[in-house]
Amino acid sequence: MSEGKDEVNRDQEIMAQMDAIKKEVAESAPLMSDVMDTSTLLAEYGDPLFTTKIKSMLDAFPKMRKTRGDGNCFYRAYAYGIAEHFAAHKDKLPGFLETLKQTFDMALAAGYPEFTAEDFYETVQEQFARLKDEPMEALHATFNDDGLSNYIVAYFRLVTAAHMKTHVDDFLPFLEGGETVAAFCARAVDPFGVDCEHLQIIALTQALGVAVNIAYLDRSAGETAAQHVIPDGQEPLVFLLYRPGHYDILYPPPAVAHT
Amino acid sequence: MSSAAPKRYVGRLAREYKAIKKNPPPFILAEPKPENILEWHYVISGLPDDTPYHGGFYHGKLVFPSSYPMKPPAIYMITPNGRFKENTRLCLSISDFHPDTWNPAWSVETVLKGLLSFMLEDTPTAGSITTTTAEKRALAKRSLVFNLKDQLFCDLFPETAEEIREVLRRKVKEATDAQNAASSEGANTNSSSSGSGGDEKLPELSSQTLAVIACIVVPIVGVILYQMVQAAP
Repeated sequence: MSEGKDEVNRDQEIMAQMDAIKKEVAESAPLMSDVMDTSTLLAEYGDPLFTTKIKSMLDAFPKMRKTRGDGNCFYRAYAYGIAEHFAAHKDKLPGFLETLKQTFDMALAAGYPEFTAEDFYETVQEQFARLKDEPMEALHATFNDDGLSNYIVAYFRLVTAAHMKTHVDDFLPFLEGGETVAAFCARAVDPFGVDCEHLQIIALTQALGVAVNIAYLDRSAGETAAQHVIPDGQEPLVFLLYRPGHYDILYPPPAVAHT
Repeated sequence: MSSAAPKRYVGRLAREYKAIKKNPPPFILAEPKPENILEWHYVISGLPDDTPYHGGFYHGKLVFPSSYPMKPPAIYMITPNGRFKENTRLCLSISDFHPDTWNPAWSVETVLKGLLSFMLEDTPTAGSITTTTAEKRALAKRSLVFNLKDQLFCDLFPETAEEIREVLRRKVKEATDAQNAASSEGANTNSSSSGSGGDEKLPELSSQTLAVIACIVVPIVGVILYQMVQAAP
């Protein structure tokens, strides 16, 4: 018993330490940075492979915006990109708000508790609806407010899991080791701060009907950063940069970004 | 909305409180501390008699991080119960031992229902203890007086405190009545045969009753005091 307790205490200490380090790293960066030149990435890498790949992207994506590396970066960056898109295409906003409404119904159908699902949904709906008559700057503040920003992340996670749970046949074949969709969601989607992988991206982009283009800045062979659109074959409205374990936003010219 | 204080989070606990008051889950009451919404107290009671916790009142608390609902609360049990160690953070998938399994779509209600169902199992975990059913039943009996001694408990759950007092009063009365019936059996046969003589005998009877009550109440108070001493850490 006492041995088990010591172990738990050690685990707690290690956990606390890791949390402290993570927190320090995370809190020194804004949740969503201002726009910057993509070429600033060059200073972060001495490696010729990365340098070559970065240079190959500069014409297609001269500007970028960084996301805090807290395990929620895909969800946050994607949500931010969606907000920017509809801020620039206000005529299409009502359609997106309707899609959001449908995702809420889907979350209930997937068995999420109404109280909490609604709590997250209402925040997201309210914030995106502001774009009807407010500029993206207003939402930039939202995305940098811990509470609101994380609520958006939490809702996007919930939609991801709800979509997978209501489309089990589409996702089950991709799960390894006999894991169920429910178990996958409990492990790799629901918990706040758990990294997003390919399967989650497919689920979320399908659910929201907003395709994303991802440029991969990794060690794979080639002199250019590979690019993929998810879901396949649709016109991307959001552009992201992938570096192992992290996502930021990219802007094709002319930058649609504010400031 | 300022970026410094995640107001949305604090608002969440306030909204949860409203919801849980409107629609309380079975066997569970929950109240935040008036001066600190991040500390909630709960009482589990009214459990069925096929559980060893029947008749017991179990008081505990949830301590929420300022990042709730993104991160889980710590769960504590305060009343000695035979299942969980008192005043010790419990290790459950719904507690802060496992931020990796916490789902922000869960709520205070999910946590307390999860705690209750885990309490009714025997699965061991950090913070759990092993006791016999008889020990649990004995602790269930002692829990009444234990909780009444806790001022915070009585302040946060005045109705439950009153319910406990009522239970204790009833127990005293039942014991009194039983004793009364037993010791006045002879007198009762007299009064029932004479019928109208009951009124005249009343003063005499009541002084007799008082004596009987004194005989019963004194030992019961003694037992309660003994339990209090035993229950004290």
